[in-house]
Amino acid sequence: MTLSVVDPTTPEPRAGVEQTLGLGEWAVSADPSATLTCIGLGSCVAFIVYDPATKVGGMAHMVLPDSTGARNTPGTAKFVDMAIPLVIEGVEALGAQTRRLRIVLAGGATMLRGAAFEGRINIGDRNADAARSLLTARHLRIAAEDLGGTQGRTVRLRLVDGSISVSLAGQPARLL
Amino acid sequence: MKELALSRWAELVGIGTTNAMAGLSQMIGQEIEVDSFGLRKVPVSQISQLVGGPEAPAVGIYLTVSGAADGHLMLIYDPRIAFAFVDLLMMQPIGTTKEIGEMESSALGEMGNVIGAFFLNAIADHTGLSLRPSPPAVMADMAGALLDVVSAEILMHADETYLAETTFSTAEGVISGMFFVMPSDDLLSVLVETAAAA
Amino acid sequence: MAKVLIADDAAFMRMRSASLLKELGHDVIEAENGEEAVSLYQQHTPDAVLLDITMPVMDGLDALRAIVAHDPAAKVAMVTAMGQQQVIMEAIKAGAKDFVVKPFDASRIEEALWKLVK
Repeated sequence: MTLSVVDPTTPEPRAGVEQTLGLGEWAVSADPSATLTCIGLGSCVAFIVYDPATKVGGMAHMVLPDSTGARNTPGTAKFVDMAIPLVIEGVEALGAQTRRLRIVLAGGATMLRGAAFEGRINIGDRNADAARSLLTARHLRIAAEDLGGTQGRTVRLRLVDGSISVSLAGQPARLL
Repeated sequence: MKELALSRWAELVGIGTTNAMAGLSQMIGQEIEVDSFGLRKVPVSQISQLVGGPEAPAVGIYLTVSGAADGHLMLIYDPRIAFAFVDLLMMQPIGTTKEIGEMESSALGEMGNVIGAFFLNAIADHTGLSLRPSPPAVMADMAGALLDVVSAEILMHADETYLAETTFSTAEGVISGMFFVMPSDDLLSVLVETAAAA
Repeated sequence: MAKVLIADDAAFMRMRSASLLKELGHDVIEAENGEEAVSLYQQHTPDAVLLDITMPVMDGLDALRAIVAHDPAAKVAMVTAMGQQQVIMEAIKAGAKDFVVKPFDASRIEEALWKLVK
């Protein structure tokens, strides 16, 4: 778990700090020079939030839809149902307001294809569905999403302007 | 994991790997040397670091194990190595294959099938357990995205895994690769039981 | 010349086996999985069947049982990488006449086929 809390009034922010979140990690930050990144999302889903007024942002690298019945590690973003509240509370603690948050989901690809795996539960879809329904239940609107498909994604949130970019393997990034 | 389970796992993976490499060698008609064999406990979130980081382009062949217990087998290659394997399998000069199309994917899948089946055959015959491989899935993408397939399953129950890692190469050094075996808790406990019964 | 049904989920293996068998002058019917193998067997009643085991939809052992149930005289050889003692026993009990472990050389397939159709 990473939690970076940087005072936004720091006179000279460090240039271009990129924080890469591994599986089940999450981060929130108020450092305008920071970039939060999830690299190589397959079936995993990135939950991304940004408050334009305060330039506070957060991201979680979510692996599985539901912590019910699973081995539970408190404070981790492994599970969609645990990660989303953690990130929202985290950005609120840094001064963001939930109603202002721009919320974006990316990832949830189907990596396993072929006849042998057709009947199998699709974790990518289940992650995406879990995130959507949890946000709906909390009356939080999703501003943009880039979900599904069969290819992995890398996603970056730049806190300086809230821009969110997504790229597929070997392809140029596009903005969400 | 208990000491006993770990040493039993190491023993069986050693037996399985030796047989898997024999199968691969037969298939591609080249001698295969095992350069290193290691068993380590790694956080699931760090596995991609072993294959050049989550963004590294990679070709993965994945199959599941069923029968007496569940598990996962995954082969991961740098794309250039995967292309070379395809050339060897299709008996064409190395350097011919430049991308993974349907026939290339099928050839790599068959290679995964032989390696996976030979690995399980040796363990099954040694323990008397029935361990059956699924048909293979072949994927080309960022290493992190490929590894999600196994990571998600493991993270359901644990944050770490006992990863068996084999690096191998052909005598002329044309080819090298890694072979990962990630057991489920279930598989480990079944193996410990066979050790206790032995 | 014989009519041979080959079942393997890998297109690469079907291509290999088919070209080998055609070179030997046989007619080849190809199936991608066990279910297809069973239905093609019923349609064409081939002289011999070369069955992979690890296949999606229906595996080769189930296909073997279905083929033998339909035609007790069916001449089936398993051609698979899964050469576990238990699996070999299971296949022989279910009516397989031969068991070829992949990767195979051409002569082994030729021999298996010759034994099936002699």
